[in-house]
Order: sequence, then structure tokens, then C-alpha cells
Amino acid sequence: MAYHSAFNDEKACEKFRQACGCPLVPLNTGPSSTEQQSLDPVDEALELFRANALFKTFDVRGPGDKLLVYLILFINSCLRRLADRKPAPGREEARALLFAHAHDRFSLPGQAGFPLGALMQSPAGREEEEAIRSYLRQCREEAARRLLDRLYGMPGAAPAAAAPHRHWMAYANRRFLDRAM
Amino acid sequence: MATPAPIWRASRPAVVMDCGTGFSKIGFAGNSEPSFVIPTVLGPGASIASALGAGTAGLGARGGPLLGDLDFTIGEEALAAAAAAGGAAGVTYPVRQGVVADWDAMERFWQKSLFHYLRVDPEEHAVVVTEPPLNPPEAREAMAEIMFESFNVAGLYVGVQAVLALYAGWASADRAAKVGSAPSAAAVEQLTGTVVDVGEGTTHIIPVVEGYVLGGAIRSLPVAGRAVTGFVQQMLRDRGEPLPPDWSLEACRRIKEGHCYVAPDMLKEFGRFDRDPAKYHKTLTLPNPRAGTDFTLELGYERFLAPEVFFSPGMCPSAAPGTPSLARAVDDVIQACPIDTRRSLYGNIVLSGGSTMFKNFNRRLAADLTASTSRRLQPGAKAIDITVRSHPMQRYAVWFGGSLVACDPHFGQVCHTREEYQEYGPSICRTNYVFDH
Repeated sequence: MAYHSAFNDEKACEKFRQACGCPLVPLNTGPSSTEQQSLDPVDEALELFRANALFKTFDVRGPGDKLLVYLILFINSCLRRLADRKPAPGREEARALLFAHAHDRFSLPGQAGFPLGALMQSPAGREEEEAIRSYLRQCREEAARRLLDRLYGMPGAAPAAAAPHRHWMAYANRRFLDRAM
Repeated sequence: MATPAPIWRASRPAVVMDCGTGFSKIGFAGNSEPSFVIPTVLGPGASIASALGAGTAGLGARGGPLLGDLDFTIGEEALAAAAAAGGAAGVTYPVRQGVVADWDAMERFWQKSLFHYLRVDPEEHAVVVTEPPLNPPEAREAMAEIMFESFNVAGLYVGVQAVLALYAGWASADRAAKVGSAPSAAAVEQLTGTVVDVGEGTTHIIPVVEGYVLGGAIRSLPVAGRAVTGFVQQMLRDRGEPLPPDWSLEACRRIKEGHCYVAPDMLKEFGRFDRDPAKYHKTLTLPNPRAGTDFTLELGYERFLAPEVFFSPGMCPSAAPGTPSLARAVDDVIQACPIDTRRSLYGNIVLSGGSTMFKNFNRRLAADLTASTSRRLQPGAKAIDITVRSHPMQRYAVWFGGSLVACDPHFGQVCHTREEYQEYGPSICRTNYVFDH
């Protein structure tokens, strides 16, 4: 059975700002973090990635799941970007690649090319559009940074890994829900 | 009519043959294990194989593996001969999804097993064969015809696989110790339980109440041993492990049988692998019989993800979306049975078949079932007692059940004898008493 997000409960999400139907849960680390959650959406996506990426279908049970699906697709695209480089990149090279990928131009909900299609509503106005754009950019950057730790081990741990973790890279060729970012 | 000679004597034990989709278990009644476990497959004979292998266009040029009536092999020899002959000679699988598809091939298979492997004279022995659930009566008649006409057996008993598996579970060591007596024919009628038979091709869930199979509630799932092996193979390929291409499925089967287990929770298991990689990730060296060299590969998450396909079929590429998990399917089957039988069906779930041998399989199934039943429970109602019985004879449970039935002193009454066949014809086997009620 696929695992679902902890942020699906409508009541619990009321304290967060909402945009396009997903809760903008503040992240633990990163440029604009304020409060600390026990598990923020990026951590959750990384935890559930290896289990959920194997499933062919996923029923979205609430607003947290929409963000979860987006982040899983993003992590999948990061792995694919790393797998495309042969020979396997080292930590510094991977960091540069993933940073570039995270800050790439990405489509917003409602625009053509958005991988979730009609799952997330289009932003209502200029303000909401700005909010969702900055939040998604922040999530992408955080996800790329924490993914690096998973693939290469914590920074400063000995020995320094030369190639990304094989068992994570095996997911590069899988297509979650048959979509790609 | 004079009393017929007893069918079963210690010096002339009955022959028990359980032919499934993947493997056939054949042996003598009274033993606790089958004498031979061979793949249910027919292949070219030695002479045809060598002729084809040498590339001569002759006998073998024109047709399938059973060209010469007498020149064929079964089991492991068949697979080896087909490999030696290259792609030119194919193999035949007489049993598909548990049901016999090719009676001609099945007859030859039985012929080779009786004369070549077991080396018996069928005229002096009774034979116990097994049939899958929902077997048509015509198939039973065909079995009777082949056995009595071609082999002239002394007696034939067609056992329902589910009831035999239950009998085996009932008579397993721990249970017999508690009851303190050997099972008798009267006790056979008290057999109530759900049999979860996970074979190579399909999984069947069969409820049996007081010795009768409730045919309307039987359910089959396409997720079985082959699906698990396929999953292991796909994960290894995704990672780029050096699997030899022509021997990959067999190698994956060995990995599955040796190193896979069922985890109580997928997510926690990923965590365990992360915290202690040395303990969980294994490096294996397997010999490749075709090339003669060894190859090394590393095992990772597929150790627990592969058997997880039973409980989360959304992961399995070959299962159609909407396939229920095993626990859900067992729940549905029991809910489809009469309401007064349900508690006893939950209380005696018996596992049978090679693919149930994964470590913790029974505990996980019991846990998943308890979760789904307790969700439905009314406040104040007594909790449903769920027992998934795992016993030492699980792997060959059906065969062992057949062996026990043939040793039972009342076997002579239920077995169809040659004299009855000669008088009444194959219709004597048409009905099976477990289905009439």
C-alpha cells in the first residue's frame, strides 16, 4: 500500500498559508525558514520516495498528497539527470548539476508542461502566483540539497563517496505514475 | 460380490502425484516428503536433442518435442535436453494456471513418472492425483480414463488440493500433539478453514467448511511465485547488476528462495537498511552452470520488496490495477461465506505451497487481516481471533495431505476401484463428494 502525506488533514493545514490547493508548510532549513517542524514536506518526500516510486497508481487523499507527488516527480527527475552523466558524477559535480536543475525554469500549476496536470488549481491572482512560485523554488532547492546527503552520505563523513548510492540511482529509470518532470 | 482385495498394503503403498503449474511432487503414501520434485515440463528425448544439437535436419526438423512417442524426457532432464538442443526443440508445459491444458502431454508425463522415476507397476497400486479448485467434471473423467485405461491402476482417488492442504495442516506435528490422537475419517468431516495456496502461477484462496469446499467463494489472484521472481529480476536489472542473460530467471529464483523475507513494514525496513548497510546488503557469488564461471552481485531492497508484492500488488508490473492485496482477498473470501462459519474460517487459515515459505509471511498476513477486521468491528463486539497456521509440511502440504489420506484406514471406501470403473465407466469420478452438499 502506498504511503500518504501527513499533511492531508484539512484542519491541521488551516494554520498554513494555502496556494493552489496545497499548504505552504514552512521548511526546516533553507533561506527563509522560521519555525521547525518535526517532518517537513521535503523530508517526507525523501522518506517516502523509495517506497512510493514503485507504485503505478496513487490516489491523492488531500492537499499534502499533491505536494508529495510533485516532490517525488522532482526527485525522480534529479536522479535521472545524474544518471545521464557517465561516468557517475562525484559530489561536487552532482551538487552543481542539481542546483542548476532546481533553479531551472519550471512550469507553475495551470501552465502547459506542469506534470501534475489539473491536479493543482491555477493560481487565483498575481500574489498567489508569486507565493507558489517562490515556495516551489524553495522546495526544489531544499530537496536537491538533502538528496545530495542521501546519495553521497553526510558531508565530511569518511570515506567520501565517489559515486552516488547505487540503490537510489536504480530508481532513475522508473516513471512514477508514468509522468516525468 | 466378494470383498475386493484391500487396495493399500504396506508393501504396496499408494502412489501420490501432485502436478502443479511449476513443479510436480510424486512419491509414495506413508512418506512425509515426496520422493521426487520435478518441474512439470516435457522436453525432447536424448536422441532428438543430440540430432538437433548437431544441426542435422532429420527427425527433429519438422515438429515439436514429442515427435517420437517414446522419445521424450520430463522434469530437469527435459530442460537440460532442450537447452542442449538449442532453440530448435521447444518444451511443453501441460499444466497452465493449475489446470491441465494438454491431456496428451499429461499422459506422457504420468507415464514417465510412474515407469521411469518411481518404477512401479501401476496395476498393483492405487493412485492419488490432485485437482485444482473449480476443476470441471470433464477433467476428472479424463483423469479417470487415462489412469484406468492406459495404466490400469488398481484404484484412483482424485483429491481436492485445498482439502488435502487442510488435512496436512491439521495433522502437522504441533496440532497432533495437542489433540493426542491420529486423525480419523470422522475428524475429516470437521475440517474447517481457509486454505491460501500460493503456487508458481496463481494464488488460490479456498474456504472449506466441515470438509466441503464452498466453490462460490473461491478467489484467485495472479500474483504468485513467478511474479516475485520477475520483480527481483527487474530490480537487479535496474541497478545494473551483472546477471547472465540466458540464466537470469533461474538465478533470480535462487536469490528469492535463499535471501528474501517479508518485512512487517516497508518504510521501517528502508530505515533499517540505511542504518546498518553491512548487515542487510549482501554480496553473493553464484555459479553460472551454462558458462561455467561465477558471477558476483549485490543484494539490496529487493530482499524485502519482492515478497511485498503479495501485500501491495500495486508494485507488481504484471498485476492489473485493482488487484487486491492477499489480506484483502482472504477477507473478501471469508465475507462471502455463510455468516456462522466466518469466525472458524478466520481462526484456521492454512498456508500451502512453496511461495509461502518466506520468513514472517504468516505473521504479516495475520497482522494485515487483524487490521482490516478490527476496523469493521462494532464497539463491544468480541475481537475476531485470526490464526495463520504455518507448519513444517507447508511446502508440499498438498502432497503430504494426499499421503495421509491414502494411509487412512477408510481410504478403501472413498477410492474408486478398477472393478467399479470397468462396470460403470469414467462417470464414477465425475462428482467429488466434497462438492455435493
